[in-house]
Amino acid sequence: MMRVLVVLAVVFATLPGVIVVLASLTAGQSLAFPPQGLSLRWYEVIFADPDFRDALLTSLTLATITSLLAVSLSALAAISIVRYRSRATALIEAMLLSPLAVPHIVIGIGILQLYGYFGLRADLLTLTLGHLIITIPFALRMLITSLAGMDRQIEHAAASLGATPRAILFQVILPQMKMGLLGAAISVFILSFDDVALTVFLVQPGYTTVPIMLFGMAENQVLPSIHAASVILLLASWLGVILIDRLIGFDRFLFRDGPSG
Amino acid sequence: MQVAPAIRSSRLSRRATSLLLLAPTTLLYLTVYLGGLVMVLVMSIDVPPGVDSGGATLAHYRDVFGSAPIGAIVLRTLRDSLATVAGCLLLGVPVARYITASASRWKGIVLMAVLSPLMVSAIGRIFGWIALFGPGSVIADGLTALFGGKPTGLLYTEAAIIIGLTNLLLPFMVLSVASSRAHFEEDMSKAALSLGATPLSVLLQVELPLIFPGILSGALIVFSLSTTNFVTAALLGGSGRDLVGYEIYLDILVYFQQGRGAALAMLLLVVVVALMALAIQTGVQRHEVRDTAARTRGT
Repeated sequence: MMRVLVVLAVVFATLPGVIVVLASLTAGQSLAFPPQGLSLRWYEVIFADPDFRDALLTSLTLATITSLLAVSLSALAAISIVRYRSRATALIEAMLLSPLAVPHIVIGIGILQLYGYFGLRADLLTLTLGHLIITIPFALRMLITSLAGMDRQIEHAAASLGATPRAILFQVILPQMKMGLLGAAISVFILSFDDVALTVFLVQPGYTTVPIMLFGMAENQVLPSIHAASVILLLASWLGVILIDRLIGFDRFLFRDGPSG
Repeated sequence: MQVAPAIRSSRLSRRATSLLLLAPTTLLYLTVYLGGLVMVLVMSIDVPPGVDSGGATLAHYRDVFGSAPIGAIVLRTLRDSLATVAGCLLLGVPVARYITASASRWKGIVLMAVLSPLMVSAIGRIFGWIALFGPGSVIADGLTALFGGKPTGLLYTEAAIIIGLTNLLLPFMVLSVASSRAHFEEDMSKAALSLGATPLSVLLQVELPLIFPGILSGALIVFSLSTTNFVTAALLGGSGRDLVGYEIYLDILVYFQQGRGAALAMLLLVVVVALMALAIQTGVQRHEVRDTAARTRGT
């Protein structure tokens, strides 16, 4: 009984991804599965669309910049929170992690209204600021965990040998955080690259991302090119998962000490 | 006499360093994030344009509570979210047991298959369901063959929303239950079995009490995430089957009912934050259960 449910869960979890890949390869006009014949024509159609190419470029730029900034800011914040623990840092930590519990739709409406009030338009800066708010909590949580599990003896040894705080940060702490930083950077990239719930409130006609384009296309345009665009998002995130698995190990990345303790 | 000021200044500089490291992120959060949340609050009590009275109003909240359509949407949201929790429990608990207890070589594959969707494009996967459920698909044809009627399939039904949400949120349940089992010793089950307990009573009396906090916090997380989700409801449910999150989205961006949307958003915020706090609290209790179990084993 339990075995059957486990197999069912595996099929259920992987099904939609597999289906959309197969459906994107159809030679016909219909979105429906099974595909009618096999072809790559809908990939040609979607890449020939200048709006899609613009959106893809925006998504890639936005996710790259968000990833670099979110991880840098989170690394500084994590060091402060773990190494200089005080009432003030604990309060700030709670604020920085709180978007994990606050619905992103509410954060999105707030930022939309705030930008509207100050007359800010959708561009790389305004979207990046929004994406930082929802991605920093994930990066910060990961980096706090990685930092808290680190042996402080090495830092003490470095300090007693006369290393300056700056040298300790760059030559002792950050190198040890390398895997945590990498894992955080990949997850932030994927979160940003794929976000709809917040981004839908921040884009404007003429400046949009791939997921938002898909969200809008689902209502208006019903051609399999939409599946081809979905597969591009899926491929990016599968690549991220494979990278994390190869570099860190997927189970170590999810559970601090492995699922079996 | 020279030591004291040195200590004080080093303490001061430590404090200054710590706050300096946090300054850019804190500034960003105080302005964009908290500033935005305050804007939602203001929107929700703002007097609608054209109404001639200054100051704040609770009219939008009265509007939300007095509206029959909103009542129906809230009921539908509760129903679909509870069904999603049930679906996640049915599939999630066996998977969590499997990846924490089994020594099978399939374990890694099961873990990867069920938990990687945490990171795999949510919107990309929704189009998989659209292909599978929509008109002309195997499921639509099958349903028509079985029950007759129009060949529209499962797309734009509540069942589609529940399937989509369960698929989206299953990993959260698995993670929560699996981490509550992380310190569960299979030896305890073996001990109970050797003392004559049946496998069923081991499951119910030994294992369930230990993983119950994980189940509860998983259920709370899945429930709150499904009440706030709007992408799944929008694409798989369509109009007429909107859930609370989608209704807020429509109020703000489509209907231009800013006040009502903001009031609904504030209410959702309060409920979800309370549920999440409860989930974290049961997570804390989970550690206490673990400690107790460890102590019991020690004696």
